[in-house]
Amino acid sequence: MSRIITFLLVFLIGTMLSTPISAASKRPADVWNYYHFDGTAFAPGPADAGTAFVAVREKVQPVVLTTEAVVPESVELPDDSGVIAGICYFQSSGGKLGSGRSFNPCPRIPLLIFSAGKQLVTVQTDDHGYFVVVLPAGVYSVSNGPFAAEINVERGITTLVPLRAGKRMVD
Amino acid sequence: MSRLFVRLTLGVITLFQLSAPVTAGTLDDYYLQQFGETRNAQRQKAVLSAAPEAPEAQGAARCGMPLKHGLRRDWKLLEPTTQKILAKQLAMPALSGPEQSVVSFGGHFKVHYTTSGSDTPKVSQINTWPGLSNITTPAAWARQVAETFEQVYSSYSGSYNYRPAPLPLNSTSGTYDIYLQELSGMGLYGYAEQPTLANGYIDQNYNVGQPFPNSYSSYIVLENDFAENLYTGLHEGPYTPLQSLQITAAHEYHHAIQYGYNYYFDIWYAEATSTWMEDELYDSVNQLYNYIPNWFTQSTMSLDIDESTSTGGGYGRWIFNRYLSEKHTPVMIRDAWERVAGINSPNGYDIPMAPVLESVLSSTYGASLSNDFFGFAKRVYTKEWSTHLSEIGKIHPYSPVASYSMYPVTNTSITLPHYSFAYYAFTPAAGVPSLTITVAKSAGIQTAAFRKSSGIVTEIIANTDGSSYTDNAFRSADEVVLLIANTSGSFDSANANVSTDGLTAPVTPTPTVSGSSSGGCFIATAAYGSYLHPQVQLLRKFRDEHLLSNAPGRAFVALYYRTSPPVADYIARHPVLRGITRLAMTPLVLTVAHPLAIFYLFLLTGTIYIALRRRKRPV
Repeated sequence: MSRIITFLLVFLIGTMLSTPISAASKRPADVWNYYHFDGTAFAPGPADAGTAFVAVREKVQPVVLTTEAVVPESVELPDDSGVIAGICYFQSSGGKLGSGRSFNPCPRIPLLIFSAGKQLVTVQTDDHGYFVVVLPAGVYSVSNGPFAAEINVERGITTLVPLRAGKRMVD
Repeated sequence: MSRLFVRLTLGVITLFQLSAPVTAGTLDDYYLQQFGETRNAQRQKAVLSAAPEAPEAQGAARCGMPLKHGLRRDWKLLEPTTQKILAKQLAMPALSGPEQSVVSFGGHFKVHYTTSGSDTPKVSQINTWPGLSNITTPAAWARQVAETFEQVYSSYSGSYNYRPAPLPLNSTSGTYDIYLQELSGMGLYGYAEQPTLANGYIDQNYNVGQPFPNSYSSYIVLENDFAENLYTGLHEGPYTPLQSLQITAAHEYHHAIQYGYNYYFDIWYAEATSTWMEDELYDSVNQLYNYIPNWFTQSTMSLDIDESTSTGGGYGRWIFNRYLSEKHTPVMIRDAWERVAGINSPNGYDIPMAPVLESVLSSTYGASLSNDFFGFAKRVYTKEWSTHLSEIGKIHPYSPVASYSMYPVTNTSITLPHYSFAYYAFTPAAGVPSLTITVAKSAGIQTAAFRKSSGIVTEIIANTDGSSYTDNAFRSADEVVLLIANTSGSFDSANANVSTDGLTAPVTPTPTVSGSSSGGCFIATAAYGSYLHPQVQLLRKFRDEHLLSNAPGRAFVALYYRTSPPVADYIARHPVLRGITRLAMTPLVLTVAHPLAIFYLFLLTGTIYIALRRRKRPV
């Protein structure tokens, strides 16, 4: 009898433990994660004050922000969709008398998104050079003129893409 | 009267309509002529005049700002073929006044300059320098620029056998464009790039695509006169405007060549090569030695860090090219650039150069980047350079990370990223007749020791154990130095322990490539779909803070990185497995995220279990 009670109690504890774990694995992460562009790639954390960065949350559409003070509105992604978000930038490298690498965002320029070799949609960068596009899961190519990046869009996931529009060698 | 007026009006309208096509042709020809572009022979419209003389032959045709404004205004009136030819004019730099140009005698370069506004070369400051008294007009300076570039072109395409920088697809003049602009305010010598059109895209005429898939043309903007103290008064100067022009022409035109090989070149090596070529072409101008100290004083940073004169990144790394060229001839450097030409960009990113150097060295020269980097690190101390002998004294001396004069030295540790090195210096002390340095090293580390006596350097052969060096005449030495180098491209946290008391602590295994900060957790990345996924980030943080900080943790990480990639690859390709893996990893993620809560949960469960067991026992 006592064995049965022990078994039932262990089962109850196991169930209690696994239910929130299972739920946690299914629900979206409840915090926004910030990523900023460091001139080469996206790095965790917000950018310096006044500079744009992306707030990302699982299964939710990412938001481009310029301050942490604003709490983004959560817009759930459609089923079977993911997101490509990123920045289009002009890279400036070097400088014998300066201090190295920098970049300039490319505001309001069109980016072409291809799927299976066909142009699917055009998205325009915002005033900070950032773009966000929600797409069905699949493989896409994002291009700015001759420069393109191939992205695998996953369900519920935001993939961050730094898209270079030019490369100036400065000395 | 009214009938006459009506007829006159109709006549004027008819004439206007009849002349419209001709006017259009005139407008096209006008702009083509003013910008020094000839008409394409296939064009349908008749050319109203003979091909225009080259502007420079006319004594400076003017096509500066006002003309470009006019071109913008009339753009829609031009034929598509004319628009195609003139598109670059709207993207090219606009000078501060009417633009003039001069073509080099060899015909390879067109220098654009102005005689009005801030971009005008200040000839009164140029011609005060020895040998430049003949520069009395901006045109004369522009001519000097053009012929200097011609000289550079001749060296690169001749003795160094590089492919000349490609020209844009729509180039009709056959010349490479150079613009003289006032850049001292921005602290620049010059830059090379592609023109960007109004839609934000690079002018597709510069995407040459031949002879290599990623060949790009470019243009160069140069500081207009190099007359400011910013350029002339640099360390080890003074540098005349002509000297600054010479090294900048050598530097920037090599960038133009690099764009021609592959747009996606690795920037640190581009700067290292362009800077190295400055001294190859203009040996008497030695400004480049100024970039070495910031590398040698920060030699624990990797060879291929981002370019920056404050770290010696890129620019200071030119001296490594001198080592390679002395050991394998300068052709090896060109071979590396030609090897890059055939490599595709990794998804829009630049092509890492270290593996390319490794590939060229091993396949063509029977060498390796690992051994050559070690040889270079040794030469930093020995200074056994075989070329530019009169300049060896300009090369910054080695800079030890620690110097000792009291003994024994107890265990001291160092961790080095890939392709980096450190020197330790030991100077004699009373009562210390001999010195034995013991080193424990992880994978990726190579060591050497040197003895300097009366200024003469000799290498100390390692003892038979292979991990210690002994100088029995330490008392008579000027100094003994130990070189520790991470000569691997795969290990970013190679470490070594050093002591002179024989009690060197053992090292811990080295985590594999970039494991400390930028590497990914393969299985978690596959399961969560992105390296940037919050949960992956959480696990990465846990790895960096709690696993890589201790020996067992590092061993686990090393094992994990060796075994997990094929598993991760399999998981990534199967959505169901990814879901299961995510579920399975959830307890781990929760434990990492909320360790206290999980601890209390286990405590609670354990307590309940023990209580139940006690209740079960017979009283």
